[in-house]
Amino acid sequence: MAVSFEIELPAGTGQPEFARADLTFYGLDHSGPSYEVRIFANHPDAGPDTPLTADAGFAGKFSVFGHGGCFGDEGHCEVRPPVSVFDRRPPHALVPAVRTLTVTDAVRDLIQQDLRTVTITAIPVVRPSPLATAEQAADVLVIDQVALHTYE
Amino acid sequence: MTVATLPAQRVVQAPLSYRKNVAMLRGPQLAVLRRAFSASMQVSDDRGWLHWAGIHGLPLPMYCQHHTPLFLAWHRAYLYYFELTLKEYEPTVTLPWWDWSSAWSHQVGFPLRYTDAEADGQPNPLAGGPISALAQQQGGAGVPARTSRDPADPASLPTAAQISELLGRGDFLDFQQQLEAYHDEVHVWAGGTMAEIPFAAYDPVFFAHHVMIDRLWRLWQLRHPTAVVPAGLLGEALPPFNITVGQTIDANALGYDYASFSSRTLIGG
Repeated sequence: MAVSFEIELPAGTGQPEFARADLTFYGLDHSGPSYEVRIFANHPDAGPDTPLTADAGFAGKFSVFGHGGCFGDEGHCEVRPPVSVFDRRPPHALVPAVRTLTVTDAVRDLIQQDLRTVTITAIPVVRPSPLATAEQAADVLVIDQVALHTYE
Repeated sequence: MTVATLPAQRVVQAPLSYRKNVAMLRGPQLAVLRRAFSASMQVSDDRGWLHWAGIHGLPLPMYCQHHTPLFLAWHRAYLYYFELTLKEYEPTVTLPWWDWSSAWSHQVGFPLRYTDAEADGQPNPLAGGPISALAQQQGGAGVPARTSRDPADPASLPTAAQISELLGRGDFLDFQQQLEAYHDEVHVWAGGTMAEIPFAAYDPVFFAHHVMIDRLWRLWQLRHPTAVVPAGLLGEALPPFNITVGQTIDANALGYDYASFSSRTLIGG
Protein backbone atom coordinates (compact mmCIF):
# COMPACT_ATOMS: atom_id res chain seq x y z
CA MET A 1 0.00 0.00 0.00
CA ALA A 2 1.23 3.46 -0.85
CA VAL A 3 2.49 5.70 1.92
CA SER A 4 1.98 9.46 1.60
CA PHE A 5 3.33 12.17 3.87
CA GLU A 6 4.19 15.84 3.84
CA ILE A 7 7.67 17.13 4.54
CA GLU A 8 9.17 20.62 4.82
CA LEU A 9 11.40 21.98 2.08
CA PRO A 10 14.45 24.22 2.65
CA ALA A 11 12.56 27.13 1.13
CA GLY A 12 13.25 30.80 1.69
CA THR A 13 15.41 33.53 0.26
CA GLY A 14 19.03 33.94 1.15
CA GLN A 15 19.56 30.27 1.95
CA PRO A 16 22.85 28.70 0.90
CA GLU A 17 22.90 26.65 -2.27
CA PHE A 18 23.03 22.94 -1.67
CA ALA A 19 25.04 20.42 -3.63
CA ARG A 20 22.99 17.39 -2.68
CA ALA A 21 19.57 16.68 -1.22
CA ASP A 22 18.84 13.30 0.36
CA LEU A 23 15.53 11.81 1.37
CA THR A 24 16.27 9.21 4.04
CA PHE A 25 13.77 6.53 4.97
CA TYR A 26 14.16 4.98 8.43
CA GLY A 27 12.60 1.86 9.86
CA LEU A 28 12.02 -0.01 6.62
CA ASP A 29 10.81 -3.54 7.08
CA HIS A 30 12.72 -6.20 5.14
CA SER A 31 11.28 -9.37 6.63
CA GLY A 32 9.05 -10.10 3.64
CA PRO A 33 9.60 -10.18 -0.11
CA SER A 34 12.05 -7.96 -1.93
CA TYR A 35 10.45 -4.79 -3.22
CA GLU A 36 11.01 -1.56 -5.08
CA VAL A 37 9.77 1.79 -3.78
CA ARG A 38 8.96 4.53 -6.30
CA ILE A 39 8.92 8.05 -4.94
CA PHE A 40 6.65 10.75 -6.35
CA ALA A 41 6.46 14.41 -5.36
CA ASN A 42 3.08 16.15 -5.19
CA HIS A 43 1.31 13.29 -6.90
CA PRO A 44 -0.75 11.65 -4.13
CA ASP A 45 -2.75 9.61 -6.63
CA ALA A 46 0.35 7.94 -8.05
CA GLY A 47 0.27 4.17 -8.34
CA PRO A 48 2.32 1.29 -9.69
CA ASP A 49 1.37 2.19 -13.26
CA THR A 50 2.28 5.89 -13.00
CA PRO A 51 5.06 6.67 -15.49
CA LEU A 52 8.50 7.20 -14.01
CA THR A 53 8.86 10.70 -15.44
CA ALA A 54 9.57 14.11 -13.98
CA ASP A 55 6.25 15.35 -15.36
CA ALA A 56 4.49 12.80 -13.18
CA GLY A 57 6.50 13.94 -10.16
CA PHE A 58 8.79 10.91 -10.15
CA ALA A 59 11.78 11.69 -7.94
CA GLY A 60 13.59 8.35 -7.87
CA LYS A 61 13.36 4.81 -6.57
CA PHE A 62 15.12 2.40 -4.28
CA SER A 63 14.95 -1.32 -3.63
CA VAL A 64 14.93 -3.44 -0.51
CA PHE A 65 16.37 -6.98 -0.65
CA GLY A 66 13.98 -8.90 1.55
CA HIS A 67 14.24 -12.01 3.69
CA GLY A 68 11.20 -13.54 2.02
CA GLY A 69 9.32 -14.45 5.17
CA CYS A 70 10.07 -16.23 8.41
CA PHE A 71 11.39 -19.77 8.22
CA GLY A 72 11.87 -20.53 11.89
CA ASP A 73 9.59 -21.36 14.76
CA GLU A 74 7.31 -18.85 16.42
CA GLY A 75 9.32 -15.89 17.65
CA HIS A 76 12.31 -16.57 15.40
CA CYS A 77 11.79 -13.35 13.44
CA GLU A 78 10.94 -11.08 16.36
CA VAL A 79 13.55 -8.36 16.63
CA ARG A 80 14.85 -8.58 20.18
CA PRO A 81 17.08 -6.06 21.94
CA PRO A 82 20.31 -7.17 23.63
CA VAL A 83 19.60 -9.05 26.84
CA SER A 84 22.26 -7.04 28.69
CA VAL A 85 25.14 -4.64 28.10
CA PHE A 86 27.36 -7.72 27.93
CA ASP A 87 25.44 -9.17 24.98
CA ARG A 88 28.10 -9.44 22.25
CA ARG A 89 25.86 -11.12 19.71
CA PRO A 90 25.31 -9.30 16.41
CA PRO A 91 22.05 -7.39 16.02
CA HIS A 92 18.99 -9.35 14.95
CA ALA A 93 18.92 -9.86 11.19
CA LEU A 94 15.61 -8.04 10.86
CA VAL A 95 16.57 -4.77 12.52
CA PRO A 96 14.79 -2.27 10.23
CA ALA A 97 16.72 -0.90 7.27
CA VAL A 98 17.61 2.64 6.23
CA ARG A 99 17.58 3.79 2.62
CA THR A 100 18.69 7.14 1.27
CA LEU A 101 17.50 8.50 -2.05
CA THR A 102 19.34 11.44 -3.55
CA VAL A 103 16.71 13.84 -4.88
CA THR A 104 18.75 16.95 -5.57
CA ASP A 105 17.16 17.94 -8.88
CA ALA A 106 13.63 17.27 -7.66
CA VAL A 107 14.12 19.42 -4.54
CA ARG A 108 15.62 22.25 -6.57
CA ASP A 109 12.62 22.16 -8.92
CA LEU A 110 10.19 22.32 -5.99
CA ILE A 111 12.03 25.25 -4.43
CA GLN A 112 11.95 27.10 -7.74
CA GLN A 113 8.16 26.76 -7.58
CA ASP A 114 8.39 28.60 -4.24
CA LEU A 115 6.90 25.65 -2.36
CA ARG A 116 7.45 25.31 1.39
CA THR A 117 6.33 21.70 1.71
CA VAL A 118 6.01 18.72 -0.57
CA THR A 119 3.77 15.69 -0.42
CA ILE A 120 5.80 12.55 -0.96
CA THR A 121 4.08 9.38 -2.11
CA ALA A 122 5.95 6.10 -1.85
CA ILE A 123 4.65 3.28 -4.05
CA PRO A 124 5.85 -0.26 -3.26
CA VAL A 125 6.12 -2.75 -6.11
CA VAL A 126 6.77 -6.47 -5.63
CA ARG A 127 7.91 -8.45 -8.65
CA PRO A 128 6.57 -12.01 -8.65
CA SER A 129 9.18 -14.64 -7.78
CA PRO A 130 9.13 -18.21 -6.45
CA LEU A 131 8.33 -16.87 -2.98
CA ALA A 132 6.53 -13.61 -3.75
CA THR A 133 3.42 -12.33 -5.45
CA ALA A 134 2.67 -8.84 -6.73
CA GLU A 135 -0.24 -8.65 -4.26
CA GLN A 136 2.22 -8.62 -1.35
CA ALA A 137 2.91 -5.00 -2.24
CA ALA A 138 -0.24 -4.23 -0.27
CA ASP A 139 1.52 -4.56 3.08
CA VAL A 140 5.22 -4.76 2.35
CA LEU A 141 6.04 -1.09 2.92
CA VAL A 142 6.53 -0.05 6.54
CA ILE A 143 8.32 3.25 7.21
CA ASP A 144 9.08 4.66 10.63
CA GLN A 145 10.45 8.12 9.75
CA VAL A 146 11.57 10.13 6.74
CA ALA A 147 14.05 12.99 6.79
CA LEU A 148 15.15 15.45 4.12
CA HIS A 149 18.77 16.56 4.38
CA THR A 150 20.60 19.01 2.16
CA TYR A 151 24.35 19.45 2.00
CA GLU A 152 26.33 22.50 0.89
CA MET B 1 85.25 -14.81 17.52
CA THR B 2 83.33 -17.09 15.29
CA VAL B 3 81.11 -15.51 12.83
CA ALA B 4 78.43 -17.81 11.64
CA THR B 5 76.90 -17.13 8.33
CA LEU B 6 73.42 -18.35 7.96
CA PRO B 7 72.42 -19.57 4.56
CA ALA B 8 70.46 -16.95 2.71
CA GLN B 9 66.81 -17.65 2.94
CA ARG B 10 64.97 -17.59 -0.30
CA VAL B 11 62.35 -14.90 -0.13
CA VAL B 12 59.15 -16.19 -1.58
CA GLN B 13 56.71 -13.50 -2.56
CA ALA B 14 53.34 -15.07 -2.81
CA PRO B 15 51.67 -13.55 -5.85
CA LEU B 16 48.26 -12.03 -5.40
CA SER B 17 45.32 -13.52 -7.19
CA TYR B 18 43.56 -11.07 -9.48
CA ARG B 19 39.82 -11.03 -9.81
CA LYS B 20 38.89 -9.99 -13.33
CA ASN B 21 36.04 -8.54 -15.31
CA VAL B 22 34.01 -11.49 -16.60
CA ALA B 23 33.73 -9.70 -19.94
CA MET B 24 37.52 -9.90 -20.27
CA LEU B 25 38.01 -13.57 -19.41
CA ARG B 26 39.87 -15.55 -22.08
CA GLY B 27 38.71 -19.02 -23.08
CA PRO B 28 41.06 -20.99 -20.81
CA GLN B 29 40.29 -18.73 -17.82
CA LEU B 30 36.59 -19.20 -18.41
CA ALA B 31 37.08 -22.96 -18.64
CA VAL B 32 38.86 -22.92 -15.27
CA LEU B 33 35.98 -20.96 -13.72
CA ARG B 34 33.41 -23.37 -15.10
CA ARG B 35 35.36 -26.40 -13.95
CA ALA B 36 35.68 -24.96 -10.45
CA PHE B 37 31.94 -24.28 -10.12
CA SER B 38 31.10 -27.63 -11.66
CA ALA B 39 33.41 -29.47 -9.27
CA SER B 40 31.96 -27.59 -6.30
CA MET B 41 28.44 -28.57 -7.36
CA GLN B 42 29.41 -32.22 -7.42
CA VAL B 43 30.56 -32.29 -3.78
CA SER B 44 27.72 -32.86 -1.33
CA ASP B 45 29.58 -32.31 1.94
CA ASP B 46 30.70 -29.10 3.64
CA ARG B 47 33.29 -28.40 0.94
CA GLY B 48 30.67 -28.18 -1.78
CA TRP B 49 28.28 -25.78 -3.43
CA LEU B 50 25.15 -26.52 -1.43
CA HIS B 51 26.93 -25.90 1.86
CA TRP B 52 28.56 -22.65 0.73
CA ALA B 53 25.49 -21.24 -1.00
CA GLY B 54 23.46 -22.14 2.07
CA ILE B 55 25.66 -20.11 4.41
CA HIS B 56 24.17 -16.93 2.94
CA GLY B 57 20.52 -17.93 3.29
CA LEU B 58 18.63 -21.12 3.94
CA PRO B 59 18.97 -23.56 5.57
CA LEU B 60 18.95 -21.78 8.90
CA PRO B 61 20.85 -20.06 10.33
CA MET B 62 21.00 -17.27 7.76
CA TYR B 63 24.44 -15.82 8.39
CA CYS B 64 24.39 -13.02 5.81
CA GLN B 65 24.55 -9.41 6.97
CA HIS B 66 22.19 -7.05 5.18
CA HIS B 67 21.05 -3.61 6.25
CA THR B 68 23.69 -3.61 9.00
CA PRO B 69 27.13 -1.95 9.26
CA LEU B 70 28.69 -5.37 8.62
CA PHE B 71 27.35 -5.67 5.06
CA LEU B 72 30.60 -5.11 3.16
CA ALA B 73 32.92 -6.88 5.57
CA TRP B 74 30.72 -9.96 5.90
CA HIS B 75 30.38 -10.38 2.15
CA ARG B 76 34.12 -9.83 1.62
CA ALA B 77 34.76 -12.66 4.05
CA TYR B 78 32.15 -14.82 2.31
CA LEU B 79 33.74 -14.31 -1.11
CA TYR B 80 37.20 -14.92 0.33
CA TYR B 81 36.31 -18.25 1.92
CA PHE B 82 34.21 -19.43 -1.00
CA GLU B 83 36.98 -18.57 -3.45
CA LEU B 84 39.41 -20.61 -1.34
CA THR B 85 37.14 -23.64 -1.66
CA LEU B 86 37.09 -23.18 -5.45
CA LYS B 87 40.90 -23.01 -5.48
CA GLU B 88 40.96 -26.50 -3.99
CA TYR B 89 39.49 -27.68 -7.28
CA GLU B 90 41.23 -25.20 -9.60
CA PRO B 91 44.24 -23.48 -8.00
CA THR B 92 44.30 -20.58 -10.47
CA VAL B 93 40.63 -19.73 -10.31
CA THR B 94 39.40 -16.35 -9.10
CA LEU B 95 35.86 -15.07 -8.93
CA PRO B 96 35.17 -12.54 -11.72
CA TRP B 97 32.98 -9.46 -11.44
CA TRP B 98 29.97 -8.51 -13.49
CA ASP B 99 29.91 -4.77 -14.15
CA TRP B 100 26.18 -4.16 -14.18
CA SER B 101 26.82 -0.43 -14.61
CA SER B 102 28.50 -0.87 -18.02
CA ALA B 103 26.91 0.27 -21.27
CA TRP B 104 26.88 -3.35 -22.43
CA SER B 105 24.98 -4.53 -19.32
CA HIS B 106 22.48 -1.71 -19.77
CA GLN B 107 21.66 -3.13 -23.20
CA VAL B 108 21.88 -6.87 -22.58
CA GLY B 109 21.66 -7.47 -18.82
CA PHE B 110 23.37 -10.55 -17.39
CA PRO B 111 26.74 -11.58 -18.88
CA LEU B 112 26.20 -14.17 -21.61
CA ARG B 113 28.75 -16.36 -19.84
CA TYR B 114 26.19 -16.73 -17.05
CA THR B 115 23.20 -17.22 -19.34
CA ASP B 116 24.43 -19.60 -22.05
CA ALA B 117 22.73 -22.93 -21.37
CA GLU B 118 25.74 -24.88 -22.61
CA ALA B 119 29.47 -24.35 -22.82
CA ASP B 120 31.78 -26.62 -24.80
CA GLY B 121 28.95 -29.08 -25.28
CA GLN B 122 28.29 -29.40 -21.55
CA PRO B 123 25.65 -27.79 -19.32
CA ASN B 124 26.99 -24.40 -18.24
CA PRO B 125 27.40 -24.47 -14.44
CA LEU B 126 27.31 -20.66 -14.37
CA ALA B 127 23.76 -20.54 -15.76
CA GLY B 128 22.15 -21.62 -12.51
CA GLY B 129 22.59 -23.86 -9.51
CA PRO B 130 20.84 -26.47 -7.42
CA ILE B 131 19.16 -25.51 -4.14
CA SER B 132 19.69 -27.76 -1.13
CA ALA B 133 16.87 -30.08 -0.17
CA LEU B 134 16.87 -28.78 3.40
CA ALA B 135 16.62 -25.18 2.16
CA GLN B 136 13.70 -26.17 -0.02
CA GLN B 137 12.03 -27.87 2.92
CA GLN B 138 12.52 -24.88 5.23
CA GLY B 139 11.41 -22.44 2.52
CA GLY B 140 8.08 -24.20 2.14
CA ALA B 141 5.86 -24.65 -0.87
CA GLY B 142 6.95 -23.01 -4.09
CA VAL B 143 10.69 -23.24 -3.56
CA PRO B 144 12.21 -24.64 -6.75
CA ALA B 145 14.95 -27.27 -6.89
CA ARG B 146 17.08 -24.95 -9.03
CA THR B 147 17.60 -21.21 -9.23
CA SER B 148 15.65 -18.95 -11.56
CA ARG B 149 16.01 -15.41 -12.92
CA ASP B 150 13.47 -12.96 -14.26
CA PRO B 151 15.44 -9.85 -15.19
CA ALA B 152 13.73 -6.49 -15.65
CA ASP B 153 14.69 -3.82 -18.21
CA PRO B 154 18.53 -3.71 -18.34
CA ALA B 155 18.37 0.06 -18.76
CA SER B 156 17.13 0.29 -15.16
CA LEU B 157 20.34 -1.14 -13.64
CA PRO B 158 22.46 1.30 -11.59
CA THR B 159 24.40 3.58 -13.91
CA ALA B 160 28.08 4.41 -14.28
CA ALA B 161 27.26 8.01 -13.31
CA GLN B 162 25.69 6.81 -10.05
CA ILE B 163 28.75 4.69 -9.30
CA SER B 164 31.06 7.61 -10.07
CA GLU B 165 29.14 9.79 -7.62
CA LEU B 166 29.17 7.00 -5.04
CA LEU B 167 32.95 6.57 -5.21
CA GLY B 168 33.33 10.26 -4.40
CA ARG B 169 31.64 9.95 -1.02
CA GLY B 170 34.12 10.31 1.79
CA ASP B 171 32.41 8.64 4.73
CA PHE B 172 32.50 4.84 5.02
CA LEU B 173 29.02 4.38 6.45
CA ASP B 174 27.49 6.76 3.89
CA PHE B 175 29.33 4.95 1.10
CA GLN B 176 28.36 1.51 2.40
CA GLN B 177 24.70 2.36 2.81
CA GLN B 178 24.39 3.67 -0.74
CA LEU B 179 26.43 0.81 -2.20
CA GLU B 180 24.09 -1.61 -0.46
CA ALA B 181 21.15 0.28 -1.99
CA TYR B 182 22.59 -0.31 -5.48
CA HIS B 183 23.29 -3.92 -4.49
CA ASP B 184 19.64 -4.33 -3.54
CA GLU B 185 18.55 -2.79 -6.83
CA VAL B 186 20.50 -5.38 -8.80
CA HIS B 187 19.06 -8.27 -6.79
CA VAL B 188 15.52 -6.98 -7.29
CA TRP B 189 16.27 -6.31 -10.98
CA ALA B 190 17.52 -9.89 -11.43
CA GLY B 191 14.23 -11.34 -10.17
CA GLY B 192 13.58 -15.04 -9.58
CA THR B 193 15.56 -16.63 -6.77
CA MET B 194 18.21 -13.89 -7.07
CA ALA B 195 15.63 -11.55 -5.54
CA GLU B 196 15.20 -13.73 -2.44
CA ILE B 197 17.79 -13.57 0.36
CA PRO B 198 17.20 -17.22 1.35
CA PHE B 199 18.09 -18.56 -2.12
CA ALA B 200 20.05 -15.86 -3.97
CA ALA B 201 23.49 -17.36 -3.33
CA TYR B 202 22.52 -20.66 -4.97
CA ASP B 203 22.82 -18.78 -8.29
CA PRO B 204 26.42 -18.50 -9.57
CA VAL B 205 25.71 -15.00 -10.86
CA PHE B 206 25.24 -13.96 -7.22
CA PHE B 207 29.01 -14.20 -6.81
CA ALA B 208 29.72 -12.14 -9.96
CA HIS B 209 27.38 -9.47 -8.56
CA HIS B 210 29.01 -9.51 -5.14
CA VAL B 211 32.53 -9.41 -6.55
CA MET B 212 31.44 -6.19 -8.29
CA ILE B 213 30.27 -4.87 -4.90
CA ASP B 214 33.55 -5.88 -3.25
CA ARG B 215 35.52 -4.33 -6.11
CA LEU B 216 33.70 -1.03 -5.65
CA TRP B 217 34.66 -1.09 -1.98
CA ARG B 218 38.28 -1.72 -2.99
CA LEU B 219 38.15 1.18 -5.50
CA TRP B 220 36.64 3.41 -2.83
CA GLN B 221 39.42 2.44 -0.42
CA LEU B 222 42.06 3.41 -3.00
CA ARG B 223 40.41 6.78 -3.58
CA HIS B 224 39.96 7.53 0.11
CA PRO B 225 43.07 6.11 1.81
CA THR B 226 42.46 8.11 4.96
CA ALA B 227 38.79 7.16 5.30
CA VAL B 228 38.38 4.40 7.81
CA VAL B 229 35.85 1.89 8.99
CA PRO B 230 34.61 3.04 12.42
CA ALA B 231 36.90 1.71 15.13
CA GLY B 232 34.01 0.15 16.99
CA LEU B 233 33.39 -2.23 14.11
CA LEU B 234 36.93 -3.51 13.60
CA GLY B 235 36.84 -6.13 16.33
CA GLU B 236 33.46 -7.50 15.32
CA ALA B 237 33.49 -11.17 14.35
CA LEU B 238 31.85 -12.25 11.10
CA PRO B 239 30.33 -15.65 11.83
CA PRO B 240 30.56 -18.34 10.62
CA PHE B 241 33.98 -17.19 9.46
CA ASN B 242 36.97 -17.01 11.79
CA ILE B 243 37.81 -13.47 10.79
CA THR B 244 36.98 -10.00 12.09
CA VAL B 245 35.94 -6.84 10.28
CA GLY B 246 39.45 -5.48 10.83
CA GLN B 247 40.95 -8.48 9.06
CA THR B 248 38.85 -7.85 5.96
CA ILE B 249 39.96 -4.26 5.40
CA ASP B 250 43.08 -5.03 3.37
CA ALA B 251 42.19 -7.10 0.30
CA ASN B 252 45.87 -7.68 -0.44
CA ALA B 253 46.32 -9.24 2.98
CA LEU B 254 43.63 -11.70 1.94
CA GLY B 255 45.68 -12.50 -1.16
CA TYR B 256 43.76 -10.80 -3.93
CA ASP B 257 43.23 -7.63 -5.86
CA TYR B 258 41.32 -6.50 -8.93
CA ALA B 259 42.41 -6.07 -12.55
CA SER B 260 40.30 -5.80 -15.69
CA PHE B 261 42.57 -8.33 -17.31
CA SER B 262 45.36 -10.44 -15.90
CA SER B 263 47.33 -13.34 -17.27
CA ARG B 264 50.34 -15.10 -15.82
CA THR B 265 53.10 -17.27 -17.23
CA LEU B 266 55.25 -19.46 -15.02
CA ILE B 267 58.94 -19.31 -15.99
CA GLY B 268 61.45 -21.60 -14.30
CA GLY B 269 60.98 -23.28 -10.95
